[in-house]
Parts: sequence; structure tokens; C-alpha cells
Amino acid sequence: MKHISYILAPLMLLFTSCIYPFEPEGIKETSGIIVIEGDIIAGGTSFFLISYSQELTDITTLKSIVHAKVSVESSSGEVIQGRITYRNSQNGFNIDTRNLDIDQKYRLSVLMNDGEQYYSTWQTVEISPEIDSLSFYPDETNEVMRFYVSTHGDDNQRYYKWTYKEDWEYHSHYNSFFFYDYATDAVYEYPGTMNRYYCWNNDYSTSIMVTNTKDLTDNRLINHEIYSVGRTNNKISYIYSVEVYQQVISEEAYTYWVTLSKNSDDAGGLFSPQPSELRGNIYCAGDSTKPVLGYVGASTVTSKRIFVDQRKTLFWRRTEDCDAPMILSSLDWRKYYNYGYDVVDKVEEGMGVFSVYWAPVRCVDCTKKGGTKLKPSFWPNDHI
Amino acid sequence: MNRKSTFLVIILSLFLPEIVSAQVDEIYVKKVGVDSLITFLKKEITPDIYYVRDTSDVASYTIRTSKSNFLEEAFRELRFNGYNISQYDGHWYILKNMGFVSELPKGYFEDKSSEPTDSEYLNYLNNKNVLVTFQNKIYEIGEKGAGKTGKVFVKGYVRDVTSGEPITGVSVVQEGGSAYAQTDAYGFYKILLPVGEQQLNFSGFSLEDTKLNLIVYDAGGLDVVMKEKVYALKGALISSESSTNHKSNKIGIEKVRINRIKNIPAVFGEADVIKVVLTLPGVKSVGEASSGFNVRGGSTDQNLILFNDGTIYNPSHMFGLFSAFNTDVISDIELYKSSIPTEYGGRISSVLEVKGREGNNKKITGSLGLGLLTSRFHLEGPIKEDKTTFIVGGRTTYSNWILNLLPQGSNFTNGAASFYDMNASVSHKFDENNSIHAYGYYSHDSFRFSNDTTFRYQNINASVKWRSNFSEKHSLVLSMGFDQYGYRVEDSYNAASAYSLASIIQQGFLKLNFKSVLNEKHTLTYGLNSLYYNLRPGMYHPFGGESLVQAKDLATENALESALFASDTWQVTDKLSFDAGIRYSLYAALHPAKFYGGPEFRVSGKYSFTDQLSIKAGFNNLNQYIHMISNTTSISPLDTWKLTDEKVKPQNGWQAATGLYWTMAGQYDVSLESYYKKMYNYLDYKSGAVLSMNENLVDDLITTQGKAYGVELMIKKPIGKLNGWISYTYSRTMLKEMEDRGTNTINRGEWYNAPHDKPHDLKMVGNYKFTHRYSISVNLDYSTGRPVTIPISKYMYAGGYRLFYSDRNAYRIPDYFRLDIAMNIEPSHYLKQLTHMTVTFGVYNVTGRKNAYSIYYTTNGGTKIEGHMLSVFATQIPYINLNLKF
Repeated sequence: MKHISYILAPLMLLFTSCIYPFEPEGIKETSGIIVIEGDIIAGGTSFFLISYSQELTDITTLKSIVHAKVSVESSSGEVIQGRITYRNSQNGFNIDTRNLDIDQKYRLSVLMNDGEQYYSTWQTVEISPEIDSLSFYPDETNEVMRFYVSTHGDDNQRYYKWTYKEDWEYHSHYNSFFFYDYATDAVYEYPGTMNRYYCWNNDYSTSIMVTNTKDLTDNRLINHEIYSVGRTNNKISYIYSVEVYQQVISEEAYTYWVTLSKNSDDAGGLFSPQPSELRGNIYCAGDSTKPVLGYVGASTVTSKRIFVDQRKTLFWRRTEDCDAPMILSSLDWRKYYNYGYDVVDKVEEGMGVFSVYWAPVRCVDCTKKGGTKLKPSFWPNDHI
Repeated sequence: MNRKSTFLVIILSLFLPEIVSAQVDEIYVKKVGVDSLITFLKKEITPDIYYVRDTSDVASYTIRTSKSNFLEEAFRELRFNGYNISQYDGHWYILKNMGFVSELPKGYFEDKSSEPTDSEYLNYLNNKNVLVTFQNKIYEIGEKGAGKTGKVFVKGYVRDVTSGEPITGVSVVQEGGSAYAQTDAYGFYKILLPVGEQQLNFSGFSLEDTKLNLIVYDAGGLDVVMKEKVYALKGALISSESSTNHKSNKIGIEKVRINRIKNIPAVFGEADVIKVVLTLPGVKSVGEASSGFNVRGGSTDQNLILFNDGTIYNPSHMFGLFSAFNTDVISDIELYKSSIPTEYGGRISSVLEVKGREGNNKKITGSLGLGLLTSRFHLEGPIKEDKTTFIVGGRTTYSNWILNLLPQGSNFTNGAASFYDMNASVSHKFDENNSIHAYGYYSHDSFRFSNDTTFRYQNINASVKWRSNFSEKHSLVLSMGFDQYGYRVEDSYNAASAYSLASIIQQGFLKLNFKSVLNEKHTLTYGLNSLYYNLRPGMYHPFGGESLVQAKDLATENALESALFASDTWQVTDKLSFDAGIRYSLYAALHPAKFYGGPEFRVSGKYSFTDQLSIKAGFNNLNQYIHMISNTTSISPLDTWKLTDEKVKPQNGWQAATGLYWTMAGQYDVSLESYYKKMYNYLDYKSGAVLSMNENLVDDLITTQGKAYGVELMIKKPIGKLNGWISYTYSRTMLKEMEDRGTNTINRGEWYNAPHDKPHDLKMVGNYKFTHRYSISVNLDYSTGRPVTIPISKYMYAGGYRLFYSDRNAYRIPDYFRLDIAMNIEPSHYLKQLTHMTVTFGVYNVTGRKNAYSIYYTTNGGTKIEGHMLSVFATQIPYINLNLKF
């Protein structure tokens, strides 16, 4: 039970508890276990990502596998081939599953380059109900913006899983209409509406969000919290939007996801459950004892989007400071540019004399904080 | 309090006292009791008479002589009736059945006041050499002319001299013969002795060996009053506990008396029964600040914890920081690791018996203890002197301040943690042979973290016990009672899903034990136990008006567990003896009805090469019909229980053990025990099993078997200025799934380390007494780190790094080491003082070693997964504890 570790935590704090690194002796790390991620999405496009597990200390980024034949098979023998697609900075496989027959069962088939054939178990297509509403609540006490989903379903839809994609617009600290050109060592005004002030960024959910309603009289979730965003997070600094995808999953899948979440989140404590054997529903046809990681379900997906506007919530709190811009003599421009400064403003002092104000580039150029100038098509404002 | 003497009273037959009359120059005292006689002497002849009141003396005295001769004549009469009269420094000391030496060291009492008080008088007695005294004195039992031959019973009580409390576990041994008895929980013993002259040895932990010269004419009573001692005087031989090892046939029994428990340093200074159990060889736990313990490879739910006959389901407060027993009301604990007496059953690993004390039967006394986090009090005394006594105790905590120290916004600022427990017991003695005892116990824990979740659990126990020596050779103990454990959680974080979750287990029990001494060779123990379970495993209800939670109650489970048992202690020869017993347990699960049962054998034997060297071997098997449902490494208060039913089989196990016991140089007890043990049908869980509120729990269960083996070496010095023990254990405990579930089988169906498998284990408990008042205690604990399952690979899944785990328990956390030191200052020995203060201060984890409590993994810098250990008591923890006795 989660309570126990919560309870112990404060008690332990008092006892001058401390945390230090743990490296068990003789650890034999493993890598190269096949990992297959994705669901068969009826009425949409399914996306599958295949990769290998890595050693714990491996700091290289994940490399997905593209040398494989990936397809979705129906119980009547229909085969839909996937094709390699780049999505969310990974190469995976898109499979057109728009026209699945929900009365049939489906499974994933992966034929690796080395000839090993992998299958998921056969899946019934779960029909997901609509999301009734999405809502948010600025929790002042705990300094987080909480996001909630409300939905209801029929009696066969007791297990829910959510994922989301979030987009947000944010601004640089100073809105600069000028820029420094290194080649000519000069300051120019941006032409037209060009700017480095408005930026957009996006991300996908990274945590596991599942719940069930099997103990509720009504299959109804009211303001069920699915995630939260910290008060100082740049995401909610101006306009934030999230599209939540809702899927009904099978009980078996639910168990898988809950176990995966438990194994990742709170393993090792005395009051934590023993890490469980985590068998997904994918197996190697040639060697059933070979571990394969992942669970492939089949369902329809419903979604809903909301916007959170900082101008109305006034919740976001700035933590980053930008000092007042300083005037630099043109002799210093190049040097300061190399230090990581850029132009905030160019002000005419009279008689054709200009003062040029400089600040660190992060205060001037919003793209330095991970975002881009690519505005989502659905964005509710006009500036670019 | 700490005197070292033993004196002794022989019960005589009854006479009626009469009046005193005095005439000029001639004094005529007719049929007066001893009290009146001495009062008279003090008043009329000399005030310098000191006399320890002896209510058992009912002889009457008739003296008629001149005033000048009266004292001499009275003394003659008193001597005739078994009194010893000695003179020292102008004072007369009159003592029943006990010599009094005048050869005290010169100047021993020189700085004492010239008018000794009763207490000083007792001190006086205590400082002489009891050995010499007793060897010079002969006690007669029975009427001289009884004309008996063969063997007769001698029985009586052994009590503490000041409080009148019974002393348990005192060995009574016939010197050079085979007769042996041990005092029971009421201080009662019964020994079969041949008619004629002989020596009888009384010995017990913390007590000096006492050797009495007897002439036995007939069956009779011999009450012995003993005194706890602080340290051995020169010349006093101590064998104490070793006599238990050498005389009992049983293997793997550990007994610790309360004064020892109180001397062992504990975190926050609160003397702790369970923590003391953990200092014994063969007992392990998964980590500090965790409740529950593992005995010889058994799991935590395989220990039967009995407190005054009641079963304690959760022996801890605050998730294991403190144990649930108030040490002020406990006399001793006894742990059965191997030979489990036939009267016990129902758990397959061990029995831990925590015995409450009886109240002082002379006067009202009590104590008050103050610690950093807890305080406790107790009060005891006679309701009717020598007949009815009571003892009550209570403890509470004021640990809420811990939570208030936590930073704002940590979610715990609204938290509160508290516990309390209460004990009460009353004992009434109808006569020498019949007594009744009533016990009550209640413990309560509550915890709230933030305003929306509260959490409570409690133990309730109540029992009544009747004890009777209904004939010369037979005695019985009948007890019945009620035990309950339950918890309740209320969570109102989200109004729509606010719930309360509760679970409760209740049991009513009846135990009837008979003991019959058939003859000098055979002592029979037999009886029956019956236990009715009422278990409500889960009650899940909406909490608050807006909750959509559907009320759900898991089906109540009921069962009746009964057992008939009989065992014989058979003294084959002086050197060879056996305990052979059988317990037939019968279990009936009700609705739907399902029966299980079977014989359980408890056999052990002993061969003594000498009084100082013996070997033993034993075998026993046990059944367990109740299972703890827990998926955590440590016992958690939210664990529920499951009764055996048509789908869940009883756990069972057997153990074979051998032991070698050697008392070296009269003061070191060396024991070497080894065991091999198998366990079956221990419950484990499938991946993703839901343990709470699952009506189909059975489908999520898997069964495992276990094997355990080990060697335990212990060297104990029970008494002396330096006392304590050191033990080393090598042991292994392995588990294996019993069924084959294909690829889901844990570790592919191979053996894996149990969570409490810690092969090397070194423990030391030591106490050094500089003087009566000052002593220092040391506690050392080393063991191999416990096994853990750790991630050995990572993979990107669902937007984050996930972990792939090793085989179950394939790795270990670092070894555990801890050293604690405490200094105890006992009260001054001015006994007239109203209160006595004991101060204990110490340091827990002196070396400040950062022992791992738990491990976890975090993602560092995006992709690198790193392991971390949390150490709970990562530094020295000083404490101080004040104890006030009044």
C-alpha cells in the first residue's frame, strides 16, 4: 500500500536518514532484450516502436530498430503491413488500422531481421467511451496545476488508460525587434512580423496513467486526476493546451500497466511490493522462454483538448531572472555575442546616436529554451 | 532492591494463638503466636530485637518463667520451632529456618547508623555468604515419625523477597540425583524426592545458586524466597541458566528476563521486547525499524506471539519503531525455535511467549518512565495482601512533534502520529492450590498524513486463567479469552472516490492443560486447545456523502481449530531422557465446510555426559491454518489474514535439530545447535496480484516451499560483573515455487534466496557492572545484507525509462553492522527513599554506519539509472530515558 511508505517517509526524515549510492556487488547488467511498444488503434493509425533494452548506466539515447517487418493480423487472416515512419523523434512503424472490424480479433506480428518471429496474443477491440470533460485546478497549497478527466462508460469498460500530447506557447523575457549580425558586426531590425519572442513546444506523456472503476457503483469517473504540472514550469507560462487520449483496456492489460508502474516507481523499499515478474503479451514464436518486453492492446481512442490561459489563471510563477539590459559600446559587441549575449533594443538617443541594449540570449531568444517557431494549426491566436 | 540473599520458610501446620498474661517477676505467656511473642519481648525485655515477619508460622508459644530468664527461655522455644537467633552489635536477629552468621567482615557495617532499620537489616543479611549458611542448615520436611519410604512430593513457590512476585524458570535440582523441576509462570514447582537426607539446588537467571540441606520425612511444602542479585560475590558459584540447558530435554529455547531486556540499548531508549528477540541467535529481521522477525528461516507470519495466552497479531507500534509491549509489566520472554511444546501449535516456525508480571503482593508500587518519544507508567500492588494483586500499565507517545519539524509543503505538516497501549491484570489466590488470573491488553496506533487520510490499527486481548493443583500429583491450567486485531483507513482526498477500508480478525480460545507427575520417571502433560476464528478480510465503504464508492464486504471467514495433545517427559536414566509428544490438530473451515488435520510429533532427547556437558536431538512437525496476505518485505499494518479453506491449503513444516551444551568453568554456557527445516504451502503472489479487497484472491495466490538450515553457536555468561552473550549463526533460507506456471514461474521454478536469507550473523549483548549503581551495556549486530531484486536493464516504454529486473532476490544490499552503547545508573540503595530514579543514556549506532534500509533507483540526467540506498539511522542517535520507581 502506498500509504505506508508515505507514512514512513516523514518518520524516517527525523532520524537523520540519508541517501547514498547503491551498486550491488557482481551485478550483471543485461541489454538487448526486445521491447515492442504500441497499441492497435481501431479507427486510426497505429504506431509501433521496436527497440532493445539498454544497460542501466548506458547514457546513449535510444536507437529504435527499423530492420523488421511489422504488421497487424486479423483472426480472419487479413494482414496490414506497416511502414517506417518518423514520429516523436524516433523511427517506428505506422500501420493503417482505420478500417478494422471490431468483431474480429487482432494481433501484432514482428519479423526481425535475424529471422525471429514475434507475436502478441490475440486482442479483442475495446471500444472507448468519449471523454465527458477535461478540467484543471491550480492547487496553491502544493504549487501544482492539476489536470482531471471525467468520463463514463458501460459496464464492460471498467479499465482506463490515458496518454496525452501537450503543446504550449511561451515567450522570451524581452521582446526584441532587433538582432545582431555577426558577419557585418551590426544590429538590424527584424523585417515584418519576424521575432524571437513567441515560441511553441510540445511533449508527450511520460508517466503511466491507468485506473479502474470496478469498485464503483457507477462506471463514472468525476474529476479523476491524471497528471499535474509544477507551478514554475514554463509550460503554463502563457497558453497551454493538452489533448488527452482515452482508451479502454482489458483487465490483463490493466494489470500489466499497473505492475509496470509499480515496478518503476517504488521498488526496493521494505513496504514496497516485491518487483513482480512482468510478462507482457508478446512472445517469440521460436523460443517461448525468451523475454520480450511490452504489451500490445487493441482499442478505439477518444480524445479531448483544453486550453489553459495564464492571463486568466495568473498561476504561473516566474523563477528565472533576467537582469536589466546593459548598453554596450559597438567595440564590445562581437565579444559579448560570443559570451552568449544578444540585442534587446536599439534606442535613438538623438543626433543619430544609438544606444544598443544587450542581455543574455536566453532572455531574448525563445528558441534557446527548446521550443520552435512552429505554431500548431489549432492555436487560438494570430501572432507568429 | 539488589540484595543477594535467600531465605526460606517452611510451612507448618495450624494452631490458634491466645492471650498473653504477665505477673510480677514471673511472666506467663500462654498460646501466643510468634508475632505477639516478639512484640512482647520487644516491649518488656529488650527493644533491640529484629525480626522478619513470617505469616506462615502459626505455631503457638507457652512460656512461664521469671523475667530474667524469659528472654533465654523464649529464644529456646523459638529455636525449637525452627528459628535462628543471632546477636550482632547488641541487636538480636530472629529469622525463621535460617542461620545467621556473626563472622561478617570486620568493620563491614561500621558507618551504618546504630539503629538498623528493617531494610538495613535485610541488607545485612544479604551481604553474608549464603552458601556457607545454607550448607550448615538442615530443613525438615514432613513429620519426623511419618514412617514413609520411597519417594514423596515436595512442592512450593519461589518468590521475590521484596515484592512477593513469583519467580519463573528457577531450576530445582536434586544434587547427585535425577529429580528435576522448574518453577512455572506462578513460581510454583513440584519435585519428587526420595525420603531421607539430601541436597536441593535452586538456581535461576540473575539469582545465586542456593543449596539447601533437607531431611525429607513425608510430602510437604517448601516455599523459597529468593533475591535477585546484581553481581556475584566471591565464592558464589553460578550455574543458573545452564541448568536449564542441561536439564531440559528441549532444543532451541531462549529465555530472557526483563532486567536483561531493559539493559539492552534500544533506539530512543525504549526497552523493546521484539528488539531483544532479534539479538538471539537464529532470529533475523529484514531491516531495522521493521516489525516482525524471522526464526530459523521461517517467515514473519509463522511466529505465534503470545502475551498472557492471547495472540498478538501485530506486535509493533509505528510500523516497527517500537514493539507493542510495555516492559514494565513483563517478567520475561521465552522463544521456542525448535522444540515447540505440544500445548502450542498453529504456527510453523516459533512460539514467542511474553509473560506478564503479577503485582507486588506486599505494597503498592509503581514506576514512571520518560523518554524522548514515549513515556510510560505502571502501578501494582495488593488489593488484599497475599491474596489479590493487580498490575496496570500504560504507554503513550508524543511523537507528533516529529511531523511538525518537517518542512512546509511536504504534505505532512497536517500529519499526526500517535500510539498508546494499556495493560491490566488481576490475580487472586484462593488458597495454596488455586488461583485465578485475569488479563487485559489494548493497543492503538493512529496516523494521519495530510488532512484527508487517516489510518488506525489496534490489538485487543482479554483472558481469564484458572490454575489448580487439584491433587498431589495433578495440576491443571484452564484459560479462555478473546483476541482481536484490526485496522481502518479513511481516504477522502477525492470526494467522489472517498472510502474507508477496514479489516478485522477475532478469535476466541479455550486452553486446558493438565500436568501429571506419574512417578519419578514420567511426567505427563496433556490437554486440549480450541480456537474459533472470525475473520472479516475486507470492508470497503464509501466515505462521506459525495462518494460514489460501492460498498463491498468480502465474505466473512470462520473456522474452528482444535487440538488434542499429550506428551511425556521420560527420565530413562540419570543421563538419558526424552520428551515425546503428539499433538493432533483438527481444522474445520466453515461455510463451505472443509476439514484438515493431522498428527504433529514433538520429540526430543538428551544425553548428559556430565552435569556440565550434554547433547540433544529433536524433531518436530507443525501445521499452520492461517496465512498472512502480504506482498511487502516487512510486515505492514495493512496486511490481512486468510484462513485455510477448500482452496488454500494449510502451511506445514518440519524441523530436525541437534544441540551440544557445555558449561565451561562453571560460568560460561556454550551451546552449539544445528537444524534443517522444510516448509510447504507458504503463500506468494502472481504478478500484479491485488491483495486488498479481492474476492478472487485465491486465483492470485501461488504456493512456495522453503528449506532452511543453519548452525548457531552461542557463548553466554549469564551472570557476574561482566555478563551477556555472543552468538554466531550461519544459516541459509531458500524458497521455490511449488507449481510450474510456465514462463511465469518465479525464477523458472528454481530455488531462490528468501528475503530474510542472511547467511552470516554475529550478535553480542554485553553488560558490565562497575558497581551496584553504574553499569554499561553494549549491543553489537552484524549480518550479511538481505537479498533484493534489482533492475539489471532499462528500456524506453510509454514515454519513460522502465526497469527490467533480475531474478528474484539475486543480489544483496551491503552488510549490516551496528554497535550501541548505553550507560545505566541505578537508583541509590537507600531503601527508605520514597522514589528511585534510574537513568539510562546511550547512543544507538555508535559508529554511525549508514546501514541500508531500502534501495531505489532514479533516472539521473535523463538516461542514466542509478541505484540509491536509504539509510534510516545513518548517524549516532543519542537518547536519555528516566525511570522513576515508587
